[in-house]
Amino acid sequence: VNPNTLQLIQFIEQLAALVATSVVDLKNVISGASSKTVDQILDDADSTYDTIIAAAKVTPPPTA
Amino acid sequence: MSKSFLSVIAVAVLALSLAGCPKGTAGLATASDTIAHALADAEKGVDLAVANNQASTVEQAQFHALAAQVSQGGKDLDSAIRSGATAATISAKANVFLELFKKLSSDGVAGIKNPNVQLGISTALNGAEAALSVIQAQVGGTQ
Repeated sequence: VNPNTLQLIQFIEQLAALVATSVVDLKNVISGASSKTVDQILDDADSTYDTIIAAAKVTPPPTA
Repeated sequence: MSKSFLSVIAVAVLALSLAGCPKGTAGLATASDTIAHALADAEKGVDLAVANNQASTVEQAQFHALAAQVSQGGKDLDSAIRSGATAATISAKANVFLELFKKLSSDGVAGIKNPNVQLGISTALNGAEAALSVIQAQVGGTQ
């Protein structure tokens, strides 16, 4: 099997696991299984946005 | 399974799910949270692609920078929701957010050369696109 194909399969598996985790979290919020208030949901969203903003600061800028 | 089919499924599932939500701020907050997590998933996907030699660090940095801009727009929208801003204000914030998201899609996703990685990242962002549509529909903005 082409090593690139194996790498791609691994990538897709990992990405699918990430999306699945988020879907379960979201399902809990929507279904009411989560007891989060609106402020707590917004706090979670802001925290996630902050993580993305912080990641951009440590990623080297494009050089090409 | 085609990307367009996955997109339709994602939009339909999210729209139906949010339709069952309490109207108003809870729906908007859930949509924003959906977008935040979709962005985070897409960003992690790009990082994984770099780790697996499927994407370059230049592509990664460009995607991170654009995702950060979208995130700042998301925080502004959240702030408007949290403060109980008028529908017009929230709509304006949502439209700015939408424009930033479009830029991420056009420059960030399209900038990834590997078509399989591009497809994976685009699919991860489908939930965000659906949630943006829900926000626009709820606040009466234009898309």
